Amino acid sequence: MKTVLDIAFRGEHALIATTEGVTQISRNGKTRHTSITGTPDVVIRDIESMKPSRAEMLLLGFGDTCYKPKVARDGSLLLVEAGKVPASARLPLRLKVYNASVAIAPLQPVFTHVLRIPSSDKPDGPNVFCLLFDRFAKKPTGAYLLFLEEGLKDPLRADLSVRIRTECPPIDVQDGIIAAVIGSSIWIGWAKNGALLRLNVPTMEHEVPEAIALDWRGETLICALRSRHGKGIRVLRTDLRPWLSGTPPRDPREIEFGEAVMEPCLPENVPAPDFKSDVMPLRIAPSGDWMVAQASGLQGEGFYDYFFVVNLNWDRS
Amino acid sequence: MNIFFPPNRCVMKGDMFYVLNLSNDVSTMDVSTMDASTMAMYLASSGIPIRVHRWDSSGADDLWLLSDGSGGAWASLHHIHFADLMSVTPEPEISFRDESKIVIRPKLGGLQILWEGRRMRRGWNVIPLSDPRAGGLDGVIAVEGEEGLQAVLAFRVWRKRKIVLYKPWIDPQEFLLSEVPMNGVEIAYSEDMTLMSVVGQFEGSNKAALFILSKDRVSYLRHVDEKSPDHICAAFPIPAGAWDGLQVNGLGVILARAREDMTLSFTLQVFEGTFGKSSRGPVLEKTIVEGVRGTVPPRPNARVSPDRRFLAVELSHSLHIFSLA
Repeated sequence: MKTVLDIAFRGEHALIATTEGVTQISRNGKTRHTSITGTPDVVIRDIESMKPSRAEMLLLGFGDTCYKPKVARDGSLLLVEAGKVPASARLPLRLKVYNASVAIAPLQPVFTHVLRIPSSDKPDGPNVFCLLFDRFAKKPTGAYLLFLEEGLKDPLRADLSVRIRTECPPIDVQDGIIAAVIGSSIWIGWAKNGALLRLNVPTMEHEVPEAIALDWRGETLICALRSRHGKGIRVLRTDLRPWLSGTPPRDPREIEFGEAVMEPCLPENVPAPDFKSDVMPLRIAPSGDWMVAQASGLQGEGFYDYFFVVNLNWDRS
Repeated sequence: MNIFFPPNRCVMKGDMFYVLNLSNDVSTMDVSTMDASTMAMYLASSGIPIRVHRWDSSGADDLWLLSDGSGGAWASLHHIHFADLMSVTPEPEISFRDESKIVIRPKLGGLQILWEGRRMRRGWNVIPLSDPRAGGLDGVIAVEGEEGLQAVLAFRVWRKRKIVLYKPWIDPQEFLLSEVPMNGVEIAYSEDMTLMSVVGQFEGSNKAALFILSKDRVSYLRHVDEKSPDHICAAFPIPAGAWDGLQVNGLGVILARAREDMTLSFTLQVFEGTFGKSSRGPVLEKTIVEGVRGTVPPRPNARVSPDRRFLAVELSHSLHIFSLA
């Protein structure tokens, strides 16, 4: 299976960065691809434009230089240089010897995944979230989640030791609210609080949250739950405001959940996956009406492994 | 786990923070069956807990964290607040009513106490993160009295648990009792003095002991020995007049006993703390709860809330809150 680094949503398109390249996928299923050689040591999910509709961008850092995908005039996808890797995304591994500060290169590669959410109307609080880990994994693995506030002498606001999926990490930040799947639970909180609260979601025992998203205002949580027993995927959404104001419902069964009807949009000429066992939800768009999933499995003698769009219809919820 | 009692809450800190809302109508409860409105689970920076007892706070804990910088960055001080949700935010220093401060000193490898805001000879006032003679730092309790910061207790672990006691103007010294968990120290304020109870070992046996803490010394009042089959799992000082029928300073002791039917019972005994009467038995004895399923770990983790309304106990596989009233 392809190792997915992250996904950025840009209106009707999504950019999927993997260790093999960048794929642009449209909501109608059309794809473009460009290859890369080597694994970036820094992946940055940035917000490129705030208004009228927010567009996310992915920056891939190799050494000191950042590259970003760009659609060329002929319609092909390219990687172009996009400046230096920001200092906050560089490894904060520093050794102090006789008052000399030395940045040390670790023996193992350390990957940095950055979410950079420029503050709009809330200027205070952390705006950069940094995940440090030493291997890409589809299952939760050990990592550090740092909350950083740019512009301060000591930018570190919180430093959490977490177990999290490091491939396309299930973390989202919107308007001062952070949500993440850590272990097999959903955790949320105000980024300025430096602490995450476990959301008591009444899921089935065999279901694990795989992908999560917050709406632009950080008020609604959307999560894709996948069954470990091959019973398929559910996409749910709920209002986070009672939790964020410290008045969660007494009984988790009282929480109101909407469930989306999933309308997959498969590319042409690919084998249809078994939705109950061969589909992995990767990331949900902050608009909440579509997500990107990965299908992989066996067909005859060979494997298939591709990305596709799932439209989410909330009309009936 | 370390147990803390910030205002209206009980916090149990292991890898995560378990936060119980005590302002709800709580009587006896098993944490594993609690709903989200009573108990919340939080993830925050890992670190060494610092418990501050404030003179004017009716005894509730003021909770801080010395984050050890697991991400590779240097340590920092965080203050833990509770509003709608728990927040853990960096602060440069812990300050006290007499301008004393506790600050981080990276060059000295740990915390520094500035008594009355002043620096003193090195060694008098530095709490290093690691100490080859006393072990790694596991927790800190700072006690404020009417005149300001009175004492700082540094909990250290290396094979044995020790407390190093810091007072102004004198060298830090190892405290009388050993094997004292952070939960084993309790503070109470009367009109004119600070009382401290400690559960730990002295000359090989478990005891609960009562002390008066003043700015220049710690005076021993009395102790109670553990007698099998009871375990002393918590103790608390009682200022004179605070309890009916107790006109002198006293010591409350919580005993856990395992019954033959595999259940536990918890009992409260209250002793007079008057000097020279250590042989006298309890002036009050009361069963708190009986028939609790579970086993007593070798070092039961328990604390009594500052308002003395609740007993929080961590058993081998469960957490409980019992009503003392």
